[in-house]
Amino acid sequence: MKQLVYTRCLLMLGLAAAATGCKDQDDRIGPDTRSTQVHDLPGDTEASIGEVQRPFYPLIFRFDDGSHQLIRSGADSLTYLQSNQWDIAFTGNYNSELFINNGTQRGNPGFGGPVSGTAIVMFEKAYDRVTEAPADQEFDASTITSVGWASGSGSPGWFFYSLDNHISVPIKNRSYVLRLPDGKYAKLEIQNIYKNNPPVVTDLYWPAPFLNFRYYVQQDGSKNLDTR
Amino acid sequence: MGSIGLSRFLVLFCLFVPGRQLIAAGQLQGKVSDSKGDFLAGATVRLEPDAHVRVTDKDGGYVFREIFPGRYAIVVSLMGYRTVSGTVLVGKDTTVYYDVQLEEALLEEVHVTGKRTNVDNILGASESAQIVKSISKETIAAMGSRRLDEVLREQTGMAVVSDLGSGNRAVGLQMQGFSSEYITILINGQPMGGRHGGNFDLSRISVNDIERIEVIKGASCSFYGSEALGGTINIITRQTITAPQAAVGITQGTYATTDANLSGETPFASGNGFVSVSGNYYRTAGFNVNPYLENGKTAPPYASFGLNSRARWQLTKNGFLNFSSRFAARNSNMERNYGALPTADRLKERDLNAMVAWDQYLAGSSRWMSRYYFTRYAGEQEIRLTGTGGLLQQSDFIEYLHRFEEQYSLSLSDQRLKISSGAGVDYQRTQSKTGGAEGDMLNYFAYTQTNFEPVSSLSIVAGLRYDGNARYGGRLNPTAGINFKPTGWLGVNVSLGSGFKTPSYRQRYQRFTNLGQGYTVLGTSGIDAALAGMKETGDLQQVWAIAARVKDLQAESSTSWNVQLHVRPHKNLLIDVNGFYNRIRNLIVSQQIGIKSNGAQLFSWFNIEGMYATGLEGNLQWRAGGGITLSAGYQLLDMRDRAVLDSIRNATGDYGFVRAESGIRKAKVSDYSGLPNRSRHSGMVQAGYFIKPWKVNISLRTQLRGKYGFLDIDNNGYIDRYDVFVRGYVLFNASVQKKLIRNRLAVQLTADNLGNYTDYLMPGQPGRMVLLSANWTFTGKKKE
Repeated sequence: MKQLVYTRCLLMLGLAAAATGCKDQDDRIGPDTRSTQVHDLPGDTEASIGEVQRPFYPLIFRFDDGSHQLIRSGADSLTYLQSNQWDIAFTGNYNSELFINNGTQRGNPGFGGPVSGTAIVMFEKAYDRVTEAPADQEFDASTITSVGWASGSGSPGWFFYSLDNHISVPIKNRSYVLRLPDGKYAKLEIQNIYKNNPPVVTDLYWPAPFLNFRYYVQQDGSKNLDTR
Repeated sequence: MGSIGLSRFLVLFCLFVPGRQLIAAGQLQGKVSDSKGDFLAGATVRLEPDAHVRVTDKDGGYVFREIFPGRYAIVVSLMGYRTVSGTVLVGKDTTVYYDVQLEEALLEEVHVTGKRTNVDNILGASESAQIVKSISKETIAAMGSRRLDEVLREQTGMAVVSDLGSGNRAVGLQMQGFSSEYITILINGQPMGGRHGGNFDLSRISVNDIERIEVIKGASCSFYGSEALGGTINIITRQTITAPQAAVGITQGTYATTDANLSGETPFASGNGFVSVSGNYYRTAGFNVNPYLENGKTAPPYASFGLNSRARWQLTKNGFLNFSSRFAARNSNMERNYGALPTADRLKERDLNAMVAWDQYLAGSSRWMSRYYFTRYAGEQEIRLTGTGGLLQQSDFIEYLHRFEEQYSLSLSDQRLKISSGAGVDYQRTQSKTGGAEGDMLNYFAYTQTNFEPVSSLSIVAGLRYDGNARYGGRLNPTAGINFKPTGWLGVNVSLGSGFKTPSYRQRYQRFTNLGQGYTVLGTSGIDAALAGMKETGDLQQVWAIAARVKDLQAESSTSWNVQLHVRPHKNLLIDVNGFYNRIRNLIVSQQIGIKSNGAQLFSWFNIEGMYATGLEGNLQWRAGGGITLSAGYQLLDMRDRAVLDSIRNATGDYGFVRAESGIRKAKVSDYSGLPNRSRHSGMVQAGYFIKPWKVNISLRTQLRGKYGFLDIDNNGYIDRYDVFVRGYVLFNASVQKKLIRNRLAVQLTADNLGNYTDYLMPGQPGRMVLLSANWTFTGKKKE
């Protein structure tokens, strides 16, 4: 029931509204005006898992100005990947697996590039309730190399695959705090890969990947991530 | 069986006067009157097995002249009255007088009243150990329904639900918590084919030619087969031919709905045979209830054409040839556009059912029937991206079933004991163009059932059925029921049924890959070879430990208990309360066993311990007087997976946690809300008003459904209170029918879902529909 009330809220507020919904809203805190909401950023929508066996092109994204680029070829890789010009990359099936740019981690799209010291820490908390980045030791100790499909318990992934409906379902109240290439702290919530970020996907062929996520970068370099 | 007891207190009295000598052959005549003794004109009097029919004259009289001596079942019916049946013995050169009093009926009969002789089966539904609910064609007409799903979704404890994981068209019936896969759909007692992922889409079937629908909830086995773990829907097509008659009807309404019917029927060979043929054309533009869908439909548009026929011909003194057939074709093209990557989903279905039977009545109330049934279903479905033409999903198959069956029944001790037995074989074959789904199977079966009535207040049914499969071995299933009516106003029925379902071809052998999503499902037989093959071709990234546990599947089985209390505190008030418990074992589910190289999932099939569905159903009917009838029904359902309950108790893996609003906490058993798609509460309230002088019939109905689980969103493997639920709702339906021009013209205005309630989580539930229909009946001269 709760989810449906929440659906209505979303529809009323417009689809770009925060995924935490208005029912849960803590009245003492104002609405989030600082975060950036990315709505329906197309990933590699031309790849299809089945008939066409082409892997999905990775999509790189910069928090600063929202610029993004699909890496379609080896030439693109050489031009864009080994640089500090991007923060996160959406890779793999339906561009659902997220990496933070890191030149030292094998398997990272930025491997071999100039970026180091970046890390991801997972929080079992709603995005709005994440108000502070953890200590640097926690980032240093983090073993998370990418965030995608939560294939088992203990996995830090942002979605799981529903066996009943054959769709990916975002895990609610799970957020990520990032230490970025420039050393700033950010928080991130990945909301959906389905177009229009519906609260529930009711179609096996709901268009994907259309990335919906929101983030906040603390520009002053502090660990304060309170966005309300 | 519940109905046998019921019929005894419904039949007020039947007068049986031994005859006097008149003519060479036997003769049967009598008068039909109402409970006040006023004679009733227009009542139908039918003699079985001959299917001779007379309609009473203005003085309520009927005569059957020159009939063969012997024992006949006589059935007397009239719209608005309870159908009464009995047995008469017509001797040589005698006239038998048989007068009948009819009692005004409630709006809808919950039970089949009387021992209706079934022309397609030696056992009628009323002889089942289980409670049978019968929905008459009058009830269907009063509702103004067009397709079978519309009729059944309004019945207590039944719902038509979408199965989104199986595809955008996947809908099926749910009954006592069982999903469509476990409910057998029969036409005149024979199984219909054409399921997609286990789902049987009932909108394939027009209600135009339906005489009545018989519903058995829970496993019943005996003569309908053991596969019906969850219940049986038996569609009985029109079989009473009173006189040459033809009818034409047209309905037009919302969503560009057109329903056109044409039918004709006539007796032949001096009333020793009849034939009826009917055709139906239906089209709908579909509808959309999803606000995210910019263009397209959530329920498919389609056009369908159907042709039904039935014939019965008395070829010898006690022998009848039966024939019935149904052909239906449906084409559908559903487009969807969410603002990107639009898709087109095309479906073509061709469906044929045909039966030929020889029905032989033998000396001493024995009966023997020999039946051959054939069905063929061809379904082609293709989903493509409109832009690139890329194929997302394809299924293209033809199913055949041939069945031969012999039935024999024997009645002893003045019909207090009836033993019915049968045996048969069927050959099933599936052809597929989409790979891995081909195969054939030979099944054989035998059954016997005893109906025993030691005293008139008690009847006992016991049955046993053996089903075998050339590949899978056999299994014996018992069924039993007892019906006790200590006093006139109270009846008790207790029944036990059981069933089993062998793993399907697809679960054992098929290697299926979904093109759009890339996942693969492997059948359990030869899985090691399949995995090795995938490894070789480089399609395998990871095989999980669980894959080692894949083994040959056990058949799913179920046991159903039903206890019904039947109370009639007043002549005009009927209350039924039914408790049910269904236990399902070795349930077959798919589980992930690894990851493919393309990153998609690899699945196979497993037996899990099983689940249970238990609940209460209550129905009430009240004839309030002045042509007003009221009825209400309610079902309380609790359906849970035992393994989930255990896992929550033992805090196994993710099962041990829920994601509450405040954060993750330990799960409690009470957090588990049961299987998805099942409402704990559901019901209906209906009112009917028959304004006799105006010949107007008004029907007002509501459907209620409590909230039900839709999707697990915290990956703990079950629906808990923090997951997605479909909101509870109430739908209002109404229909007004008026008969004109000596009942020849019937005009009807129907409005379904008056409140226009829709929810995008229920893609198959249409918004408000308003339909106007007209039916004209051409009646030939009544044969005396």
